Amino acid sequence: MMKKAWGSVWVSLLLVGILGLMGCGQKTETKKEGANSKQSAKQEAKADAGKGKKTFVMVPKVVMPYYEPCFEGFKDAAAKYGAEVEYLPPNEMKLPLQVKVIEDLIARKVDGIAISALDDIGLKQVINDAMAAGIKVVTFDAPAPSSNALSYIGTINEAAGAAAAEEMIKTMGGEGELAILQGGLVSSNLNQRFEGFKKTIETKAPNIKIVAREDTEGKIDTTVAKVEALLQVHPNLKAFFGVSATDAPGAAIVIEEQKKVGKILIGGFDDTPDTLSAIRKGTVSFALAQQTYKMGWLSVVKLCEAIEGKTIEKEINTGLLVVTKENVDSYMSEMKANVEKSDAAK
Amino acid sequence: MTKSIDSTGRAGRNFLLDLLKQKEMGVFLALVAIVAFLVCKTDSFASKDNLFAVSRQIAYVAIVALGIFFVIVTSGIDLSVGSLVCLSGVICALVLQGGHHPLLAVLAGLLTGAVAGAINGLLVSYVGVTSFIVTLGMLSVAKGAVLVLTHGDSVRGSTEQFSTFLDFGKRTFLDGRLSMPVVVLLVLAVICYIVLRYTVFGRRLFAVGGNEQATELSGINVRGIKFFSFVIASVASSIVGILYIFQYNSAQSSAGEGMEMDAIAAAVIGGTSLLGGQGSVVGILIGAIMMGVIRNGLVLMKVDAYWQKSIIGAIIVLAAVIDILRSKRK
Amino acid sequence: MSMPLLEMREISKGFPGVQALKNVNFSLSKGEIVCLLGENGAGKSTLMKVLTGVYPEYEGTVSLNGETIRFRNTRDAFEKGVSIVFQEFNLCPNLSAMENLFLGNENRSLPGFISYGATRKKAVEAFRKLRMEIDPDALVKDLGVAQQQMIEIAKALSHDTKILVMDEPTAVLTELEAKNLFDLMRELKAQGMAIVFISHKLNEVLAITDRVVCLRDGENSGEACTREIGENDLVSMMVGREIDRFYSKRAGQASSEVVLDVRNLTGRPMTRNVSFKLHKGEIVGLAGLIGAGRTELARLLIGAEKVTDGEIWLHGEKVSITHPKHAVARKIAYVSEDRKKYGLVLPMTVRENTTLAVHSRVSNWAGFISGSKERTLTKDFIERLRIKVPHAEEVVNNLSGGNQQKVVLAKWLAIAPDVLILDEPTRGIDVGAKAEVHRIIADLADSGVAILVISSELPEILHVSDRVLVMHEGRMTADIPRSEANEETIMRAAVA
Repeated sequence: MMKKAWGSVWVSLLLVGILGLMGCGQKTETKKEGANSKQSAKQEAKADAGKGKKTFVMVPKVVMPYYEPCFEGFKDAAAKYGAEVEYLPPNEMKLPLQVKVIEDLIARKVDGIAISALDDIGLKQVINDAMAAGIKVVTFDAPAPSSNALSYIGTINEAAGAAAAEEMIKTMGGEGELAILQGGLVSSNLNQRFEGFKKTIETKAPNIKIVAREDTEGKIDTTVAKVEALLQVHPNLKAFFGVSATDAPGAAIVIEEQKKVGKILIGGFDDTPDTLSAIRKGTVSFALAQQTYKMGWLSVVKLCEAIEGKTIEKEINTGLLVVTKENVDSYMSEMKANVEKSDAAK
Repeated sequence: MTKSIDSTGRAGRNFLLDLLKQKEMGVFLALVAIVAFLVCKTDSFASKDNLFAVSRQIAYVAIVALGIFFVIVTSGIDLSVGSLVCLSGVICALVLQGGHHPLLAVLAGLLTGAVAGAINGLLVSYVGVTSFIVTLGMLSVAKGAVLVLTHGDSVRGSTEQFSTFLDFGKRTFLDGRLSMPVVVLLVLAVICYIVLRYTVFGRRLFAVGGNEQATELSGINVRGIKFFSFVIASVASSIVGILYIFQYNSAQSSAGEGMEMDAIAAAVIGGTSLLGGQGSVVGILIGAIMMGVIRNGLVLMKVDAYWQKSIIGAIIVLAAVIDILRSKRK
Repeated sequence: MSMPLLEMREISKGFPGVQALKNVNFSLSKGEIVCLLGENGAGKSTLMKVLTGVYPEYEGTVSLNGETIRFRNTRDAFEKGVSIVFQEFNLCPNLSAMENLFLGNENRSLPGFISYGATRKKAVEAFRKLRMEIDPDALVKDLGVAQQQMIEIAKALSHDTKILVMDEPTAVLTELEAKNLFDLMRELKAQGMAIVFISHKLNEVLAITDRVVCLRDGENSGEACTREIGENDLVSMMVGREIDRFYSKRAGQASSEVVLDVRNLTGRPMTRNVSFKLHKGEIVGLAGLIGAGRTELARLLIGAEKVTDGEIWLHGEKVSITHPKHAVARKIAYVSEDRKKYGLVLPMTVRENTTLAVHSRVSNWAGFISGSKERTLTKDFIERLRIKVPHAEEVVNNLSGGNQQKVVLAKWLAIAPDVLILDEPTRGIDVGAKAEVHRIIADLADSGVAILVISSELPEILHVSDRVLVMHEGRMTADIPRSEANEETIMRAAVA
């Protein structure tokens, strides 16, 4: 009996240790480890102030390749504008984890935060706390309109959906049956995209019929299974549209296997490596890439402006880029060049 | 332990009656009814393509369910199977991408499962932490490991070894009707059936689940049995993780997510008691087929997307309720 | 005897598929203790359920003091003076003694509020009447079994009770506590209470009751004045045939060859410095109060608990047993006291349970179990132990207590033990099966097995043992040869 109790204590410690290590391990590319104690937080704050350089931190929703260009833009702009940057993504898409990151940053008294908000209401308090503590906060990629965050820099989802629809109409030649895949029916950004998409299709392409809308739960297994089934139910299906990042690549897997490339078209969202790979192969016709690099870059620009006391726009639409086979390898450098160009033109 | 018809020479017993009284008969008939319904109501359910796709989806869940069955029978639970599917696949793909021989890659994948299972088994059997907590922890650890290794991206194949690997796995049988996962499932199912029914290990597994203390006092090494059950569950998961690569041409970082729920549901529907000591291979297969057929049917029947999740959830709850009622009646 | 207080006439009660009672007659007079005797399934509890209002539907008449009545429910019966104390207590472990005592009957000052002062006074009074020192505020879960039973009895007597039914009241009591209970019963009897005493312990029946009424298969099978009969008569009434010997006679005698030699054994949780020897063909009884550490000693011998000091010698060789599998390998068998919890895998069949400890015997090198070897072995034991099952595939959960115990025995006999430790081997099984178990024990001893019988039934110990060991608080306090063993000598060592 005693032995068992001790065993549990050791194991709990072990597990906590492992999870802690995993947490620490996520803070990539930066000099500092996550500051968990007030002591080291204060030291770091002093160090930050002493250097005279501003510290900006980017907090995405989770570790995901999608955010890597965001941070690249963030980093490049910081190099140009003389700021230190950090990248602190939570391990999992869980609100308490993101809240904790912000709380730690408040303790460290950083100068600016760019956050992709997991949950508008859920983050309201901690964002306002940060603002009240003198930290400038902007949101990128996902907004937090209920809070006092200074700006939302990112894609306007409904417009994004509309843009995707325009591209889809082009790809489909204005007619045919279309099935929609969405990775979760609850998130507002996905639903806004869908609404924008649907409206445009309905008004501009009456000969395109949306015959199905399935929830793929953002999981590859579910996406593949649903696509396989949809192909059975709708033998005349012409195209798939994937609303979230995992949908188009999932559909691509099935289309490739069933050797229907070119016969069934796929359009999607976000430029994940899997999607780009599929575009190169021709399985996916287009993907709407959010201007992630631009989001990161502009976050630094606007944070600097806010620190200088200027008022900044409440909402900045970073727009989208259509990625097709033609520009799949060059779009990223084009995006970066455009951003730097417009920045220099200021 | 569930039995099929035992030939103990009881005179005059009605074979048909015995068959009907089998515990799995209820679910089996329900399955037959659902399949019949779908065949009638949709043109596509019984098509060659659809059956190919559905049988493969079912095979993935069924293999994991068979593995987890060994743990459930001893009154344990393993929540880490889904994330081990993912991790094993990632490791196998990484080894292939490293230019190593496909067999080495497969071995690496299986070893991932074996090691994880051994850790689970050690903590549960020898240290005494409850399986729920241990495997929940392993779930997080495995997920975290996947993130560290992939940063959320997938592992795509570009090496020659990867192609050789895929060529092997994409083979089909019976004129394109059976995929590799289905064949693997059938082989594993037969092996499991034989082990559980005819070997000492199988007998002891059920004994531990039926009454752990009595089994230990009878001189059986209960800890060893439980340890191995976790290893088996995790290795089964790695097999599925490797099989997924054949279909996805890559190791996806969300593969196998949430699979433990489907596997447990399949087990419970098929007559496995979560309290341990009861269940059968046939039941697992029926349960997995039922889950796969229902998921497929919901899309074929064009059921509204918002309803599908609730329906699946309701079925899982229903299965659990029936399980409790069944054990109460005893 | 004056007019009976209670008369139950021609009572019949049926359920779908079974006729539980057939024209049963039962009467009770004031100041009388009557034993209701019968094997499990004979109809005793059904008859008492009719009496206490659990079954308001039945044929026949029940009259109290000459007046025909039919209780509508248990509350009705309780209020008319009929109470019952069950074998399984209906107490709330997390409430105090007095709260349990007045559960449902709370003293209220204001509506909805319990007045604790008055309650405590009444509780103290009630316990005092029963000659029990029970702290009214003590939580039931912290009280001993005997005290819990007292609370149940107090509950039963809290009304103006005329008839008290006690169902197996001494099953969970030690000898000492049972004595106290009997003293209480005699006092209640002197006050005019009529008591129905249901018990399987024949020596108690002979000691405390005035009259015995016996049921078999739902019908009256005999009635007698206790003074005029003996144990064998009781058994005959119950099983319907002549049993000339309840305890079997042994053909042989213990040899002088030492099989098990325990030296200064100390271990978890409470065994201290225990030494004793077992000889081939010997039956040694191990007596002591409940909690004396007998089961703990047994568990130590088979490796289920940790040995911290001392040695175990088997066939003249020192052995180390740290897990039951070592004990099995060394042919030491332990039949535990709770067969459902420690002895059987209930969802499994007779066959599977019988072979549970001998998988190596029924399997081949690759680990495959041979169905035919299993079936032969099981069939063998079913015959040898006279286990009443239609076939070996019967799930043991469906068997009666006696047959279940035999399956456990079969499992252990399958290893062909040299040492057999039996822990309360006849607890909770009916008289017929008890006699058979004793026969089996005797036969085993004759064939050379060294047997240690742990039992809380002194008559059982006295009848079967060649020697009696006594334990107290984890230590061995006496080793008494048969000639000197009696209730007194054993009891003295048990409490010393």
